[in-house]
Amino acid sequence: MKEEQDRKADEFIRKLVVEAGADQPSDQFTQSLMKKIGQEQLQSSVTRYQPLISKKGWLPIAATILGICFILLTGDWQQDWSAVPIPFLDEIGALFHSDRYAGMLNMNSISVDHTVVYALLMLSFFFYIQIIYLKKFLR
Amino acid sequence: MMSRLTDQEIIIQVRAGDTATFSVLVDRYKSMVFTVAIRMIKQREDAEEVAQDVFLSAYGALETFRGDSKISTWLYRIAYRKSLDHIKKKKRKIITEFADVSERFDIGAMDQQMNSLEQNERNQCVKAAIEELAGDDALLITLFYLKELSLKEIEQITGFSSNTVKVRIFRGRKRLLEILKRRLEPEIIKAYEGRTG
Repeated sequence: MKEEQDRKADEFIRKLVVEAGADQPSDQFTQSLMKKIGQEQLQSSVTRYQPLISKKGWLPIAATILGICFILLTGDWQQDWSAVPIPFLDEIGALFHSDRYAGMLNMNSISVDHTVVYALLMLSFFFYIQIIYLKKFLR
Repeated sequence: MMSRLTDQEIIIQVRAGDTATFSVLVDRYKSMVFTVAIRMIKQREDAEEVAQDVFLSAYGALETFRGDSKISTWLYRIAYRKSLDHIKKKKRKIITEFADVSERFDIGAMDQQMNSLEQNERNQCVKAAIEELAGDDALLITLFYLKELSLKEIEQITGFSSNTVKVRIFRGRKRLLEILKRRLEPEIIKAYEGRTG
């Protein structure tokens, strides 16, 4: 009895809902939508943003950073850096030690923390990469 | 000619850069996408805005449409999600109503009363009754009865389990009968007065 009542109710509601049909949007719906799509396309073609560094470009960068991290974590970094010869700095130092510049600046008195050296190295590395990509991008 | 294209052919053409063909897809599904939105949101202007947004998003994401489901199911799912977002944004509450499932209805009498109305009046009465249902229930009733979607397809659109869909359709139907019963009497009087006066 209950099943019969449910079946009748099901048929009755189905008939009414199908007959009432779907609601209709305004007449300009499609036209206005296609206009919006056109505008969006125009906008995206004018300013087509591209990443400065492509996905492939990030691979060597990531590899380099990982490599540096690996070396820093596993290497012996307690050594005395003053013993490591840096010819370029020595030459500059010698220049300032000469009579002409004596007293102006003593390069040997400059002490730079290791962290600063790493930071400068990384900064110059990324700066170098940026220049290459910026040139490519602007071209 | 273009309207004879299958959904898949339209997708291929649009992906190849033929934007105009997308309008065929829009014309094909706009009424149902709009219906999904209006059942949930209940306001015509907002529903139209959401429906436009649905097609804009679909156009942008057409590249990612893998074809695992029918394009209609995909569009209705976007419409459902966007409608929920809209309701959330407007800070409106999603009302869930429960019908008295034990109440019995004289379907034969109700059918006779409905038939006594003009078709236009009848359709308006049914749409107004559906509008009184909670958003989710109105949508489930529409997808199940009007689009004749399976419980599985409705599950894909709404994220409700098939069992939940089944129970909610059952309760929604009862609630709809309650509303129709309440509405029918004044509607018949009004229709009678309209014809005689």
